[in-house]
Amino acid sequence: MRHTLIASLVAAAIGLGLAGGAQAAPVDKQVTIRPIQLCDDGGGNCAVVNTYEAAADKIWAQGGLDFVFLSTQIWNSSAFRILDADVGEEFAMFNAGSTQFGNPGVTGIINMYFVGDFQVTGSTLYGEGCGALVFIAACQGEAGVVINATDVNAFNGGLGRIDTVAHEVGHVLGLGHNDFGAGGANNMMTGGGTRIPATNLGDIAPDGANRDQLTADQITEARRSFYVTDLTAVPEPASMAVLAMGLAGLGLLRRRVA
Amino acid sequence: MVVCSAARDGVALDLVPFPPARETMSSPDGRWMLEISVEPRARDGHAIGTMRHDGAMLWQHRLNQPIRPRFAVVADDGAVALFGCWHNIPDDVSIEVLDPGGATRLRLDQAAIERAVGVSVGAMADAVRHGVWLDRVPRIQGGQVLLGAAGRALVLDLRDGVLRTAR
Repeated sequence: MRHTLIASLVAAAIGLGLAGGAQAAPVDKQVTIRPIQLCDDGGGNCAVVNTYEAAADKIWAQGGLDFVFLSTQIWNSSAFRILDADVGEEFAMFNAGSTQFGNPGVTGIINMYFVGDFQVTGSTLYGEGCGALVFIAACQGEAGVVINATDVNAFNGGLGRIDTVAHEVGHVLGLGHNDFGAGGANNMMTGGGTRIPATNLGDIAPDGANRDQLTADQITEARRSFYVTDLTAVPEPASMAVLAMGLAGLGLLRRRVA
Repeated sequence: MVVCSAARDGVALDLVPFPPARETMSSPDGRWMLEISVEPRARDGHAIGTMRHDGAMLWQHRLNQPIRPRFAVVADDGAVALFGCWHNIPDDVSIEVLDPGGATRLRLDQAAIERAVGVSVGAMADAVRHGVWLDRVPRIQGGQVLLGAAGRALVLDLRDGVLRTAR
């Protein structure tokens, strides 16, 4: 009885260590992202990079996905630091970036460009996500995510539009604004004019005001994406400690049984 | 050269349309006219409200709502009710009532709306048509504003700020 109790506690500790804490679903897949910081030709006026990783991870935990951000690359390019979406300047950036940093369609790593401004007539434009086959025509065959660092970071009095990164990656994974159950104010993929974004982690589904939800259909579609791969990330230090405790306990149990 | 692409229709973009640069609302008797003007590209901007009575300007000042209120209605006594803000974020000023001189008479926050409706703001989302909680466009009726949330008709009294479900 005592050995069974110890074994249960050990198993729980190992499970907790591997899972990295409470999640809406077991996290068993990941999306790997390469952040790219745009600066001017002289290396100044750099866009401020904020990946909003905690928000993105909690949102996509609904689908068992973890976002893994590689180290930020710097790109000195005045031509691409400020983009005009009316003339599709982001597509030229995606194309040049594929040569510079690797082609997402080959590497399976999403290039995420943080720019100083991203403008379109008549709207505040927070970002764009390209790479899914369903958007291949709209994105002129290019792949990548562009984040308007200035407007995203300034949103809500400087607290940031915390779900934009997760939303744009959703497009890369094949999700639109009105398909697979999107369209409601609390859905993460609903267009910006209608969506009510979570303003803090406590309001991201399934908690609090239950914002930025994903439907079962959205999760199924996203997990089919080429960009979703098996987990390869190293667990966080806290999780490693719990895992080590569990494994140590397993060793103790074996010695006692022997 | 302009490149035409379906993406410009917002297919893979996360965008929020600019509010109108200028919008005018009048009282039912037409004597009070409120103009709300905003600089769309001002990231930290607030709108300017200008009130005229029989053509004469009575007050003009910066409004409290980030960017601008989503809706505004004007009563025949010059009181103004402002609802929500443009960027779909909940804030402490979900409803604000101004007196005819432009001063804040009362404010109702998200908690007050939840008490009146009887559900959390998060639960109101399924019925939302405008902003964070409204399911219909507010309209003035005498000294009251008719509005709604979570499928329930509400009445706001502009004099005492009581928000209740309509009978």
